[in-house]
Amino acid sequence: MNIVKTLAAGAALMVAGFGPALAQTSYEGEQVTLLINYGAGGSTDVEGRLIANHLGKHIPGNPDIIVQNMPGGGGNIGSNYLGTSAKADGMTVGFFTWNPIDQIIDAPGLMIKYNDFDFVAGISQPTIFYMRKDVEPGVETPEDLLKTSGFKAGSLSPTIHQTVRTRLALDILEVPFNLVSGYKGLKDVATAVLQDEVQLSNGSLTSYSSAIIPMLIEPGLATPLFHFDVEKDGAFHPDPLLDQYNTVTFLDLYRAKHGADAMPSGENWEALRLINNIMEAMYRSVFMPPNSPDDAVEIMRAAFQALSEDPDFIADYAKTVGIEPRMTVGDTGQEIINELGDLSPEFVENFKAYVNQ
Amino acid sequence: MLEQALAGAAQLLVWPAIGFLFLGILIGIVFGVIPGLSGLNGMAILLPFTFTMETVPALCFLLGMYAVTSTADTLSSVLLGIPGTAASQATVLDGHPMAKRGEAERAFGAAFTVSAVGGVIGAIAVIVSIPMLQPIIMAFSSPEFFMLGVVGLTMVGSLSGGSITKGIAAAVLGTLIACVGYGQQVAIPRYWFDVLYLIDGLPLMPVVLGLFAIPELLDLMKGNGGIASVSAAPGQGSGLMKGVRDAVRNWWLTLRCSILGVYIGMLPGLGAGIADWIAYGHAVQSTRKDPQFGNGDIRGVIAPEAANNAVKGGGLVPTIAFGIPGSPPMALLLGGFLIQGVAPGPSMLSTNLSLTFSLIWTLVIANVVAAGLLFVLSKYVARLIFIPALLLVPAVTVFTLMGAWMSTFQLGDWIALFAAGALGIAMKRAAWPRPPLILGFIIAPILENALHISRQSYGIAWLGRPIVLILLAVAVLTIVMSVRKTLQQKARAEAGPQAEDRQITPAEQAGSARFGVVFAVVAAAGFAFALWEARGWPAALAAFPVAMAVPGLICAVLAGTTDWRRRFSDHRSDPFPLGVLVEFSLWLGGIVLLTVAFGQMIALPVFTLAFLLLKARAKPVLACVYAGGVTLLLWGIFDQVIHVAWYPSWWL
Repeated sequence: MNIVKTLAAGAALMVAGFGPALAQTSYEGEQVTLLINYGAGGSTDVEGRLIANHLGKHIPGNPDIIVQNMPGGGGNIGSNYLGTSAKADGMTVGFFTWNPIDQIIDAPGLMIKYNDFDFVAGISQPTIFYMRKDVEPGVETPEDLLKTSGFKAGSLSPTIHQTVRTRLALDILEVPFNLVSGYKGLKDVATAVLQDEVQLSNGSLTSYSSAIIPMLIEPGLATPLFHFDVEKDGAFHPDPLLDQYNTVTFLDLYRAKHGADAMPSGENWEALRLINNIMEAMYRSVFMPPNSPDDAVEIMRAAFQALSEDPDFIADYAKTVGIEPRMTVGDTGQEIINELGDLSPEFVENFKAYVNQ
Repeated sequence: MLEQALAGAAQLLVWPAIGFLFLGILIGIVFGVIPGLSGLNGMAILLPFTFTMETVPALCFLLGMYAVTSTADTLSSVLLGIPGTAASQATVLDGHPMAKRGEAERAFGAAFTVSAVGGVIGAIAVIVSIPMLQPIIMAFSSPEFFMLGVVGLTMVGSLSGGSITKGIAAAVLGTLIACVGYGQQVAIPRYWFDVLYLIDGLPLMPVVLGLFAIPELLDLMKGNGGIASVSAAPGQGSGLMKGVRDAVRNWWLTLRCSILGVYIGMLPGLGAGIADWIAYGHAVQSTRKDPQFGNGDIRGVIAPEAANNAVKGGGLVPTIAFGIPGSPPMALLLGGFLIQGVAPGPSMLSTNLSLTFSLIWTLVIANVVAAGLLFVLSKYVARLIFIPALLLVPAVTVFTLMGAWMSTFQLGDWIALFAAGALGIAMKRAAWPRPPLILGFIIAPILENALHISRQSYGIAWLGRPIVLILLAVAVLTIVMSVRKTLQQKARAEAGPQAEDRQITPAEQAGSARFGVVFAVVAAAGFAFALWEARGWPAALAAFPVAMAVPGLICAVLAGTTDWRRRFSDHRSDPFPLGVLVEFSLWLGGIVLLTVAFGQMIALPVFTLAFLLLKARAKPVLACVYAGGVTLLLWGIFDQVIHVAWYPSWWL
């Protein structure tokens, strides 16, 4: 009897004393798969591999992080896989560039809802608008955009956030334009601007600094216009990541037209705000399969928190991407993404009509 | 300038830069040789290793690896009829028939020589072209791209051998297969039958491998001797040098195709996968003296191999001059630049000129060294063609299946492979040419996208742009010339019955007019279905498939009518006996079942072992070593290095 008691107590001790420690070191000798929803060679892939290089040392037990590309469907194949087929055992993590609009408009081919995933972390990537200077009557400063009377705006496929945000922004500013959509990448649009096939477009900061500046801005062909304001606690600020680029914000331009305290309103603005907030917090996002074990999600969130403060990672990221990484980790991001699940049917209906027109 | 050139060389020729360059070359050869792996995979895998390296070793490591994959990929294209990478698809057409004739070494000799020459010309082109790049890019907007695509497609006329109607219909079929899934313009998927795999369109490799490798595999399954139909190479031992002499004799073709490759490489979006076809088409069209294309004409090897190495120098130009990567591997190389803190742009010609020269020297050295290494290697590898065919079946099957699997890591890749294989077998039997289909498949998205943007951006005015008109004239001329060529051939064939044999293309040899009628009917039904499906789509979505399907339908009907008239003159034996087909399908079905149950890591070695013991009747020791080798390849390279997503089997 005593022996049994002793054993039981010992077992209890084991569980109590070593249990958590076991859970924490359970990644030792394991392989964590970082699933990337675009093919090898794209910017998502490059960033994902950068993260894979540094992530392991921030997870207890220092597991190997291996990268798996699952391209296709505009990123949806990988998203579907993580949502429907991947095991929710904490060993698979998705690193996605994703398009919230696909979920809002219920695009065929997207089988999951992003707000069902466990959100781990998101990385910010600002967008900068730019325009050829030779558009009538001449565009030297951002405010000159408001004087133009027609030009072509180049963009990617019609339902991607880049296109929809371009349309929403120009519509809210009441600038007349024609949309030329269907370019395959931001650099293809930049080439089209160089060729004067289209006159306005935008790019992620990475493509802006690596291609648009040497190709268009430095030779004096184009000028930067604006970037989207960052919303924090209900107030809007210029994006601190863009300090060195001296561009005005979208609201600066809106106010140049409507007066110093004007605020846009209406369906278009609400839509733009929602997409901006999501894209600001999680242009690229780290997700875990729905219903992953809570402790695994917490470990991963802590790892990304540590990663975002790791000087080696920051230096590598800044060298590759052109800006220091700004991450949104854990609950803050989960709240933003949950908004996607709480949209009113009316908003969704109007937004669908806008995107598809 | 000379000083900078020497400085660039000096930076490259010191340790560890030169060591990394050679390491890159060796890795590149491995990635080129194995079908399904390419320079793109190599770049993605090597890039993280360069984070901590110095600038010159890092970039030369990456570029050296990438430069040589299109030299090494010739090995499997020629020997096995499987393109080693997409850059050597066209090499298969004449390279593999040469292997069957026992002249694999000759094909290698020529291919490696012109690969080195093309690569060096590409390197020289970098320095010559950078100042001219801006005007070239400016000249090629969407309308010009569209017309360039049209010129590419009309090359089909010359690729299609005997029957122009079949050639066009096959090309159209390719463009329609490319329409499957999301278009570029409207987010409504086409022809996808609610199959999620199809929603993003079919990937290239399963289609290419299905069309070309599966029929070859079936040929091997018949087990008649080896790949070569002769027991030894004619003039054994001198094969490589004979190929070198072929290359020297065709220096003008080599030069033209290299320059063609450079300029295709410079245009963003057109890569080596298109350059090889256009170069091949150019060779077919420009050859006057005794053309044997499709039957193992050495010029059919020289043209694509010169172009596909030159293309890489061309692709480097916009990448370093503007930061516009023309292809995914170049995008990764650009990532390598950014990691090193080197901003591409005009500075590459001023402050960073010595680095530009280091890259150029890398291209020169890598291309020459790889050709040299492959010369040595190929002497041994080329003997594979005399090995009993059945022994090769497991290796070729594994490469083909893994090559297809690398596309999206789904069972759909295999289903697409098998479907394309069935199509390839049917087309071969119906004497429909397959190259136009694959070219149509590759070019269609470029055509549709450029047409859509041209119409949005310029209205109808795009048709009046000067370069568009010039390209249009080239396209029309191409068609007129190939129609005339066909008519002349017909006239000659009618003049003398003995001349007929010489005019038969290999496509026709395997063909049956009766089956041609059946296939034409099915194809016509397919085109009609494509039209019917498009009836409710928005104009932006329907325009391209309709514009393609209408001429396709007409050509399919014409081709069917021609075959109907010849239906009794059909005495050739069936190259694909039903028994072999059934057996082949059973083996493949077995692999799929085993994969679903246990995953590829078990299925493919088990298949290898079973096939060798039961079908090839190999010695058990050999079978075990062979299966062990397959396991090692799957585990060592595909699993450990590339981190392939294996099928999530129920058992593991």
